[in-house]
Amino acid sequence: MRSVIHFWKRHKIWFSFLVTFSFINTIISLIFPYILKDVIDGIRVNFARQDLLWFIMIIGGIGFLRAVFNSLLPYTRGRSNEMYLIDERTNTFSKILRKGHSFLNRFPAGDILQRVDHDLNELAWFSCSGLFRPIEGIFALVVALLFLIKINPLLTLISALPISVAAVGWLKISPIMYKYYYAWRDSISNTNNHMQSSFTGIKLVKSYITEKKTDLRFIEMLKKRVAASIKVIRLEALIHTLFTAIEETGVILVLLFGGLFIIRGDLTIGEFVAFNAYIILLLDPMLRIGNFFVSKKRAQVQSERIEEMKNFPPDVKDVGQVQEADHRGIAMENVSFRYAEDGPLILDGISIKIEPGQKIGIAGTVGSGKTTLLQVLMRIAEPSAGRVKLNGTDMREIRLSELRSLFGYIPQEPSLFSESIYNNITFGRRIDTPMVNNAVKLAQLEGFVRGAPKGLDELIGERGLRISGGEKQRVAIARAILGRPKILVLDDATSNLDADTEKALITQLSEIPGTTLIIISHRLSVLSICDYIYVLDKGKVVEQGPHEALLKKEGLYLKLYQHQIMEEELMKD
Amino acid sequence: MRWHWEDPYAVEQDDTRKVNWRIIKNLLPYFRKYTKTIIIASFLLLFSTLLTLLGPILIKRAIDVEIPNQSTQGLILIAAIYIVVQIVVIVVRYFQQIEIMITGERAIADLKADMFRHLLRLPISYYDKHPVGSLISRVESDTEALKSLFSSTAVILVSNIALLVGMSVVMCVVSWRLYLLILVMLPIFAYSFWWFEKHARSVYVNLRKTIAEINGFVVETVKSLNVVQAFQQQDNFVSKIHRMGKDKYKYDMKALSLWYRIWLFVELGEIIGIVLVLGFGGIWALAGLISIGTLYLFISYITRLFVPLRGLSDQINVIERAFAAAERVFNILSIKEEFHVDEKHVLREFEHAIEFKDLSFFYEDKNWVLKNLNFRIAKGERIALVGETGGGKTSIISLLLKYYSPQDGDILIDGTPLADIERHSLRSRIGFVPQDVILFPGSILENLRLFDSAIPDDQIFDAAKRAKIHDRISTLPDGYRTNIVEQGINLSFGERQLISYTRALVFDPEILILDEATSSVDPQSERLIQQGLKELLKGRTAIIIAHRLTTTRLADRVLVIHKGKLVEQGKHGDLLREKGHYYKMYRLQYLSGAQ
Repeated sequence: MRSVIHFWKRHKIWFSFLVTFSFINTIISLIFPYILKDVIDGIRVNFARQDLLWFIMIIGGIGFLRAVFNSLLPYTRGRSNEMYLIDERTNTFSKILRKGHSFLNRFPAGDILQRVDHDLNELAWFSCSGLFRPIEGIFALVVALLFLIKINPLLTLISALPISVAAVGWLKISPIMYKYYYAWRDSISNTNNHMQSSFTGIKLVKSYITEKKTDLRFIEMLKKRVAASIKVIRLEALIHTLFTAIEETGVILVLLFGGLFIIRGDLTIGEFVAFNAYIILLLDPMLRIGNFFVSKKRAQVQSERIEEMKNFPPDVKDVGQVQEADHRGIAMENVSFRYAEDGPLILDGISIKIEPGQKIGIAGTVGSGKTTLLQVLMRIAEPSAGRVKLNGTDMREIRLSELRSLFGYIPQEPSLFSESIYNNITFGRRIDTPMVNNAVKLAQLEGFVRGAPKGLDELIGERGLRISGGEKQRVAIARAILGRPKILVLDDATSNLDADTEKALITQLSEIPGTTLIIISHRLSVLSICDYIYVLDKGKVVEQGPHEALLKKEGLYLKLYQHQIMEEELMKD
Repeated sequence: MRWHWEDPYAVEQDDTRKVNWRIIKNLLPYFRKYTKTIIIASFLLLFSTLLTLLGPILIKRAIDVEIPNQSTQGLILIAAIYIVVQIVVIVVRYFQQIEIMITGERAIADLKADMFRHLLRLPISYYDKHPVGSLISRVESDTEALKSLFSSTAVILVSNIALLVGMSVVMCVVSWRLYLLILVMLPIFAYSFWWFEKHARSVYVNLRKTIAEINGFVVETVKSLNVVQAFQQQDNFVSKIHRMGKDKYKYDMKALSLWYRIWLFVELGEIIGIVLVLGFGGIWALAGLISIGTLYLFISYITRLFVPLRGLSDQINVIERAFAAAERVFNILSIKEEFHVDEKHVLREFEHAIEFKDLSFFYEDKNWVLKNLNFRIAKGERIALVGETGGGKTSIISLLLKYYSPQDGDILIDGTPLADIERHSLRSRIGFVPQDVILFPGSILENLRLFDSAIPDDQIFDAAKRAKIHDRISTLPDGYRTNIVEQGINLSFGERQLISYTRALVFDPEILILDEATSSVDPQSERLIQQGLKELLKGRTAIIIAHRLTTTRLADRVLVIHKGKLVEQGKHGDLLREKGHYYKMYRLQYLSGAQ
């Protein structure tokens, strides 16, 4: 809700404009029956044709204004909803972009999307339409009552009474309505869950020849769902009926008492017609006001769901002030890491050193903490204990943007977006095409780009070109080297290339002058070109040294080596 | 308010279709069952719609006759008639509304049931091509779109047409002069709706596309958050989503301005109508050609006429979406079910052996997965299939379960080719334990007997006791009646596995096919799972895709499948001594385990 208030604080002028606009609109809409009254009464007393034409012109003019205003109002409201939506979506997204792994653990992707898409949309509707419809309702109610009282206070009292029952009634009924709605919604998710299990487990269903029972079960659930929805339908119909009844009671009261008043000479026929029109106009504002309390509750829930996401603490805070855009040495000092406070240690007292221009290899079994090590190194994850220093300064004191610009990161799973190859490589950075071409060449992507019908502009991903795992990895490599980073970080990033291509590519990368390489690999042909290798096991560095020295140790590294050779042999058979 | 299931990643290409009679013809049978209700409801709808026309007529009479005559009695009589008419209208409306909505709900539930029934009977290859999320969308969201076509659009159309015709007749009878004035406006309306329909389509298609793009971008970004951060591209991504938001805004505004024009048009139409009626009508009234009551009647009809016209433009979008949805629905219903014609042999008992003869097989992509496979499994034998992922193990068991048909060669059961065996009789001899444990919403009991109420509870308790999961289930809040999915019960991996084993035990199959889970577990769970497995294997012919050494040790014979071929077979110990492929795999796993 705060964001809605905040939005209007920033758009005070727009807010006062909308209020004024709604007010004028109400007056124009409601003055109409009042003029109608004068026309009809005029006709009754046989006034001059001239006067009639005058009135018609006034009616036409006001009618025209009413038409323009009445249609412009939902237009401006809709526009405002969308304005809020853009602002809030951008704002929420920018908060999400600063979160870390604990955020992603808490909110699965589908959930985030649900909030950013569905909840935000409904909140956007509330931000203006939901707010102004009742405001308009209040205006309309007050103005209509004023007109009614001006025409005949007694008749107003008689005829408006049943309608005020509607507003009270609505407040009473809506909680029941909600109970039924929720029961209905649960029955819907039940059928969907059943489908989910049945389709995912289709092989199970078929092997146990339980198709028939499974769909009987589905029919049973559908029956419950129909029953739940019938409850909602009945109640909705009942509410609708009651409100129509209340509205019509007003009309009948006007007909009867108004008629009697005319006969007694207390009311003119014109006034009678106007009364009729006003009474019908009273119900809608009442419902709008009643509805507001319901939609406010919903908006509150939605707003909380979004705030919950926005306020989730990021793992890495960007508070450092030191400017440091050079790499003269990185040191990890006794670094430990765990995902949750009571969780197991993923990194356990790691100390390593990386000098400029070095080629550092990291080896280890699956789950030994290699990827986490890299993330801590780039300060994507924050160590639970220990320090990481760049050029002797604790990384937390260095500005995040400068720190990260040192690194070119190539993750295990190349994250490509459904966009052109070009955009995937530049990744939002403004870089000249010749440099992009150079990166494409270095990443050995030239052949692939030439093969694509639109070259670099070819779309990849779901709606574009199918792209193999090896090509994906090379796009990710081109993306990383394009920024001319001081340190290239490869997280098993060449596993989908064949051994020869891989070795050639890595050798080429290592020859870029002034570049430090940090490579996770399970292939020892890659590790063998590294200057220094750290071997990880269960979050600890268990062995370190150059390739040859490690092999001689006959420890874990040798085992990994044998393992890999055997694996290759197995696949060769 | 709607809580329909939506597939967050689904990007519908073009969501609109024009009205199509073939689709309507397909849809009709679902409503035929309710013909009587629909006829009665339609009649009630027409009746109540026409009755609402009486209100202004009565008031006109009050204005023209009773009030000038100072007849209190007449006025009360009119008010009384009015009350009766309104009560009838309200009551009739109530029932009509309920009947139509409930019929829609029931008919669409029938359609959902049909789709679900049909989907369950489609070949597995269909599931390979369609993600579960999109299948649920078809059964859920698409049928709901059809429901709104029936219970809101059709009702609005029928009642509005009735209203239009009824009003025309009344107005024509009351004053043909004024009616002619109004008639002039009709072609303008027809044109405006045609115009709206033409323009709205492309705007809405584009709007949905931009929404899908934004959603896709959000999901892709969230999934690559660490890369975005490593490249310090947060600001660029923020401006990108802002830009995408503005793109969507552009189409939103286009849609809004279309609406604005329709609203304006309807409002102006109303005003022009009133001005015409008041202008000419006023002059005629002054001349004594028509009465003031007539003026009132016309003005009140015109206002009524324009309210539904607004709703009508809303419906255009609904109609087009519904037809696109219906097309998808009936496309699914027209796909052929698993094939049955040649299956003449009913497998009553498995007596001797399963034989794989020169078996070759590929999936849609036409790369051979299995090539000339030959082996024989005798009754009572326990076979472990081992080999690398993608080597063809899963294909072997899929073929045995008749999920696919081989391109070449055959599988024989007691000498009868699988192609001739009626698939249900085959599958009822086999118990299949898939890799992932599938739990349905419902109690544990229902999950264990797979909704087959013919299986007595005791048989289930007995199986659970044998699998040593009975005690654990008994400690759950509602014991065997606990709903694991709904109550959010956290069962450990091993416990879930045992539930899956218990399910197979309940059905007591002659042949067991088990796809062992790959996840590694703590030693204690491992022991429990192994115990359960031993219990499950007792007295059965078994084929196990094995990932654990302990499991291969249980087998009478290990078959090593490599790149679609059988490269080695024999007992675990013998294979180790041969120092072939199996030995290498064993060493590999041993190494990984030792690290």
